[in-house]
Amino acid sequence: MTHQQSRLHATISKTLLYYDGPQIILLNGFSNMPIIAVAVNYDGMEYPFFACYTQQKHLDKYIHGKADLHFVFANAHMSEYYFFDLFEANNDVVNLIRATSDESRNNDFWPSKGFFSSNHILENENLHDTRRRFNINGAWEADDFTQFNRKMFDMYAIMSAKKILESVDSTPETLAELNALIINQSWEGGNSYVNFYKPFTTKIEIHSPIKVKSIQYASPGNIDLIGDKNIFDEMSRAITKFEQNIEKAAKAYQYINKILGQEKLKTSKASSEFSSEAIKNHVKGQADIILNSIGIDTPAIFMHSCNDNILIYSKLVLSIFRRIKGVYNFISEGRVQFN
Amino acid sequence: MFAETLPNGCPPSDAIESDGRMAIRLLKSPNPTEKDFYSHAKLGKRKPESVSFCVWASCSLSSIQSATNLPKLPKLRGKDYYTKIILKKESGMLKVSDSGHIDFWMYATFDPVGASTGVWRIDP
Repeated sequence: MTHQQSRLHATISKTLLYYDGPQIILLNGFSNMPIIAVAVNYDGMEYPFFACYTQQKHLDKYIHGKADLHFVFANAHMSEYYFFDLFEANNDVVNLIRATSDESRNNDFWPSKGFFSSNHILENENLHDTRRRFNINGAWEADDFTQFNRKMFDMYAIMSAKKILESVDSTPETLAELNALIINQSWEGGNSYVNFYKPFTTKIEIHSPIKVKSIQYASPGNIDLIGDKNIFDEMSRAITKFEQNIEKAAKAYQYINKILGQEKLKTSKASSEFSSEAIKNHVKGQADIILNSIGIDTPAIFMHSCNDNILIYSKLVLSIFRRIKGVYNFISEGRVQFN
Repeated sequence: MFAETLPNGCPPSDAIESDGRMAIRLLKSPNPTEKDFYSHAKLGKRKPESVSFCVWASCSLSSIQSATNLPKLPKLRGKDYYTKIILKKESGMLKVSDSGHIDFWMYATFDPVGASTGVWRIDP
């Protein structure tokens, strides 16, 4: 499929406003770029919508009441507009048809000025929530779905932690909760890792916990997950980076794993020491390489969240590597299309 | 007994009986008729895949005053009036979303025009 053709398909993500039928819809388009659409009257279509690609920052302005809906359309990406017929949606995928320049300028299709999100959005509604579809192919056993979803949930937790640690908006309480969750694990192998990831979404306050929306058991089929759009985007970026750096990351992983084995630190307590400062610092350097390989450019803040304990830090990073590799394996096998 | 034939399992289990609240219905003219409260299903409109049969068979109302801004949207243009109706226990069943939208399944005995407390013009 060419880029131009890809731009002409979109997946319905969320109905933002329903009144006598859907009126405003959010969709995911090419490269998961957001599309906003309003219901209109248009000859030849049963349930027509007028739509445009939009930048996330413009959509955010609308969502947060800093701009009206007209502004979002006026700042359409590439000044291109589309129609689609909701009635023709198949499995939530719609076909976009380019509007002519006359149609694009026709006020009948545009929302009037002064329509703000406050007309339909309450403050506690999470508008970053989105549905992300992962197309699947090949043979899938029931256990594969469980494994894939578990790895995706863990990866979502990792990227949520990254967001919390990197954001200046994170409250001291949230940072303290995350810090406690990390340092209070025993990190002695086995279930101690599960005990870190599994309670993540219940112990740390994140606005959009990930959940499974639907699974279409077919080949090809799809898995739809619901979660924060920004976290999903981080996951996509991490996988792309990981693919580019997999050899370097795998080498660093093997090195740390080997050293922890030689130093008998794999199942030891977090307070255990390395045999020398040089080894300890080298392990830290290799752990930084792994984080860099998945697009985390600020390993120091992860290190800080481990109370600067290099043994905890290295074990946390090894667990991150295993989980990202787990997701990547499904992609490299051709069984999951990530983007 | 509902005013319209509803699909099985409709209204949904989380719908509640009307509780005396007031709700807004947009109108095209200052003289509402029963037809202004028909669902899309009753009007014979075909349902898109993304909407459930049950919601398609409901009448849209709003519990927030700013619903009077909805005619700024292209498909709702021309709905220049609104009425406020009182939804008493004997009116029907409703489901209220966080956004203030109400799916309303009215009982056969309910007269929405009679329940109207007045009609107002929406300032352009």
